[in-house]
Amino acid sequence: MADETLLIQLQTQATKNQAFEQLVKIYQRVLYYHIRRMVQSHEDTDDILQNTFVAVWRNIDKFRGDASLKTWLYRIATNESITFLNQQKKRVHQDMEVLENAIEHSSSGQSVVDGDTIQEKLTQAIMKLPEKQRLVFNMRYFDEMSFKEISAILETSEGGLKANYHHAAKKIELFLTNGEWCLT
Amino acid sequence: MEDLYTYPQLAALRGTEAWEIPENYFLELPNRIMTKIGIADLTEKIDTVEPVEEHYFDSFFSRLKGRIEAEEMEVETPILAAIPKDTIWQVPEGYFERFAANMVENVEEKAIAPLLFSIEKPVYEAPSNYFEELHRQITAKMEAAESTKIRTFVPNWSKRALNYSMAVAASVILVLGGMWLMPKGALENNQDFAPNFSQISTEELQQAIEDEHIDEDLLADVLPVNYTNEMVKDLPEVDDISEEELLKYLEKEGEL
Repeated sequence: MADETLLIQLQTQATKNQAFEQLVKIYQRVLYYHIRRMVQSHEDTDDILQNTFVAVWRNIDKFRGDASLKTWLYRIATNESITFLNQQKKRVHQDMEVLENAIEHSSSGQSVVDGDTIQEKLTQAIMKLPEKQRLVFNMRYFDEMSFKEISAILETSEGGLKANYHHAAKKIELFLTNGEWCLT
Repeated sequence: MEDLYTYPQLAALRGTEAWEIPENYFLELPNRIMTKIGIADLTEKIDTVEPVEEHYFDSFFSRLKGRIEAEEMEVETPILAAIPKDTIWQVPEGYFERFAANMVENVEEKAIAPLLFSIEKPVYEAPSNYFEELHRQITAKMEAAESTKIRTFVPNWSKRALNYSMAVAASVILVLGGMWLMPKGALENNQDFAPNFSQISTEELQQAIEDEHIDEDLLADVLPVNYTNEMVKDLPEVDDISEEELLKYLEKEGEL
């Protein structure tokens, strides 16, 4: 079903419930992995994903279609993830190293496929990136979004995004090759 | 005219039709002229028609054959023929417009981080049946949130009253706790003292309250008269909330 049709159904009281279920089915996986790559743990991802869809349900009548439905959903999911990460930083007062450690040893585990060293290193490297770079890197590298799409979601210039992405890719490459981490 | 008389034969022919014309010639002439004009116009139009595109006729036969085959297919396999071919393989909007730019970007990326782009991307796993259950969980969460919102309803002015009361209660606890831990008889002897609240642990305060070591006379000494009543007297009772206020509150909360 096209997003335009789905949107009309979502904004019509009689078809809202059914259309919402359809919306969840269409976007649950892409949004799940988008959030998961930001926050790592499944439990946190689940919370954020549910909050994202609850926010969608509550605000769908206000959505005027200035952006595409997909862009809007990604924007909500991204904002929810960033809010969560900021709250977590404040609440736990953990520095990045401690946080990484907690994630690696959390009971939920499931961070990456076991036994593949270079992939584990890649995940570690991504977690070391500053928040914005990590977000842009994930959207480009994993979701294979164009800079134009990312720009629409994050409401940032394409030029800035490209710079962020190239910095991130270089840092990760260096880390994968030599195990060195560049702080700039 | 004299010449005619010189040639009597010519003179004899004078006044007769020298030329024979076909029967009905003049009757049909207007039609024939109009037909000729029409042909001339048509020829003119043909001369101004744009030439066919290059190699049009080279592929004409194969296109004709294709059309015949399509028509035959329509008869033999109508369902398959009804599926529009151009909608089977859809590409994202603007894909071809951005194709060249994307190619350049991809090449640049691989040049910056060759190892990164040569490895298999990590795969995250969600618990089994997670996605099958997600919609139900979201619905349950929304329902739970709705019921909690109604159960925990406390109007703003009532929240203020609650905050005042809590502040008063905290002050009382601190003062009483300090007095309880004060050297015995210090108050009666009017001794100068400064209780060190930082040395009182939460557990000690809790214990004091649990043991009911609260003396109403002591409370009267340390707090102004009717202190708590003064703080909250102007605030409305929770029971006084009208239905209208309740609806306004719920609407406001719903917007958040």
